[in-house]
Amino acid sequence: MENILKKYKNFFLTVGTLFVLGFLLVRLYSFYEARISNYDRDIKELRQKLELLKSISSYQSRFSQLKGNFLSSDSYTFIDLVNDYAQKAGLEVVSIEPKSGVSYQKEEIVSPLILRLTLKGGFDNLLNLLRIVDKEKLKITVSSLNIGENISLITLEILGLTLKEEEL
Amino acid sequence: MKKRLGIYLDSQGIAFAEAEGKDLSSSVFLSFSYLLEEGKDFSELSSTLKIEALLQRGLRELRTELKEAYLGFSEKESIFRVLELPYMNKKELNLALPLEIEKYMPFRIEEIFWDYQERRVFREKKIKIAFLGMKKTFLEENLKAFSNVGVKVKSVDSGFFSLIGFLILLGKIPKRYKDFAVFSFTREEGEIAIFSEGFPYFSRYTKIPLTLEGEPDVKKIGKDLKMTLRYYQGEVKGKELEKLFILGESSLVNKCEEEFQDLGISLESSPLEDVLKDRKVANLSELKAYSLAIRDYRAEFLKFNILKERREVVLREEVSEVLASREVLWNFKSLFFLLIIGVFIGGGIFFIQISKESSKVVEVKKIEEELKVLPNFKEFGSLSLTTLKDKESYLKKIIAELREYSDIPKDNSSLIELLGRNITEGMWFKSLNLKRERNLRDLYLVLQGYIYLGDIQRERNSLNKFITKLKESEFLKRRKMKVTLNSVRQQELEGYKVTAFTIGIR
Repeated sequence: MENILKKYKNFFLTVGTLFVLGFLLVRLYSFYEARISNYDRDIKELRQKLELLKSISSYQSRFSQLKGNFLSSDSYTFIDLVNDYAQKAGLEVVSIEPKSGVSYQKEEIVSPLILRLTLKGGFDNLLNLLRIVDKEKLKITVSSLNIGENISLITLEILGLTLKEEEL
Repeated sequence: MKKRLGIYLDSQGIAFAEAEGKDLSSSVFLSFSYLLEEGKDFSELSSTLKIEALLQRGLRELRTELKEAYLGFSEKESIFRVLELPYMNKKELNLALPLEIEKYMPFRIEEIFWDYQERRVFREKKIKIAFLGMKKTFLEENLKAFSNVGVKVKSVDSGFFSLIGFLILLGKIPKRYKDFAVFSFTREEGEIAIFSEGFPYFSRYTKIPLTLEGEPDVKKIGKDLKMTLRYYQGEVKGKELEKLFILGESSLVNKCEEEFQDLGISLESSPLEDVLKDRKVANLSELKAYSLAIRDYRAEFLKFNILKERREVVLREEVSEVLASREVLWNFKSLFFLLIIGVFIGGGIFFIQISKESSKVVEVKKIEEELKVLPNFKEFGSLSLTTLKDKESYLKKIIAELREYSDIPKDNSSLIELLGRNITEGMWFKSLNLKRERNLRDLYLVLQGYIYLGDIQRERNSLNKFITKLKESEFLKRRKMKVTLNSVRQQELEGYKVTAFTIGIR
């Protein structure tokens, strides 16, 4: 055994050195590869974050544009607005009251607000009111209209869309 | 000019020559038989004492005051070998040669004094070695005799190769010849050497065969030479010797020229008497002594000194130790070489990876800068990717929902106007009910009214006309709304027969 060791001493020494060198080089390479791999992961995450923030920013901007067409959730403002429309149309508001219990099921943010009105006036005045409502940029529409034999007494429901949240 | 003393010993006697510079001052040859002639009985004496006696006599006859001598022996006493080794440096050669040469001789290296000359053949990556050795016991015995007579031996060389070197120096063997043979002989002994590519290839000593009359048998010498030359040609195939130089007494040389014609090689004879121009030497031994005396002028590759101090101290153990240390040295060199390669590769990896890492760091910083300038970075920058994804999904849904309500129909007034605009003859409305569905797009209208024209057919025609006009209106077509007549009947109203109708628009 000793003779073999002696005979192949150089061989063993060289192979051993190569092995140790190889091991150290692989370790060195792996160490830096791990670091670079971490950087790659960070870069990927940062890019994803960048894209998401850009996308969120874009949606926020779009929301800001759209939310101006919706009413605030405050019903008094809506009542004032509708009252103002009726007066402009030459109608006499007999009664105006919010209709409770109205809700749509799937909506996340949009909520309907309905006002029930009893008005006195002629057909032309009614048309005026309808024109005013149709021209309004806000999301308001007449959801129900009833003109009976007594033409001067009109009942109608005006629906306005409000937002549950005004900021996202 | 400096004087030097050359002494040559062979089996017949001792030759002395004193040279001043290159020139021969005096020479003398004393045969061992000379001692017998003096009538003294030396037969019982040792060879050392015989040599001592001849040395004293020779130095006296030469009338020299020199106490240092350049010594040479005949080939009979020497061991001359030529071998080839793979290419290696001087240090490695000094270590490898002693062990390698043992394969070529029947002695251990410790038993001999030795020296060598080398010829490096780069194109073949090998070293040719001309090795000269002499048994220590023999040389020490002879050196003792020299010491006893007060002569210090400066060097010990081969008498024959000294002679060849001298002949080359004289131009008797022109330098242009590279493959040649030299044969020198006396009546008792001869020596032959073959040179290949200007370096010794082979050398041997031979006893001169005699005829029954006691004269050298030239024919047998010729046969012997022929065999030697055949041996060479067998060893070195396809290579021809250019010339055979023959040196000896003129009478013998002349005979040789006649007998050696069938050797198949060009001959060039040099009678001993003609070698030196100014003076003559008595025999070949004196010429060898002279060639030893002018050692400094001879070609280096034929100059040996087996007395070199280093030769005496090289023992097997020392060689082994040196070889072992060389092995360690080799290992160290190999390891160092491997380490250097490793460092280079490691350095390469380090720089490549550092460079990669730097570019990644720059990229990270660039993206971070881009992030910081986003308006919502402060609000959402610290959130995790999952939270941000949820947020994005929620916003997407919200925007989709808002867009769903972006086109709520604003057509109530248009529809009512349409009804009023298309009212036909004798018609008036009783009631109008309008209802929007939950999706805010679909509309349902129920209209009740009367027609009075005093003629039922005309009233019906008026109603049909009204319905047709509604159906053909662009507004209803665009909205894809359908007009249906729900009911129509004759009814008495305030004493008049009128047509009452109900129309649905959906």
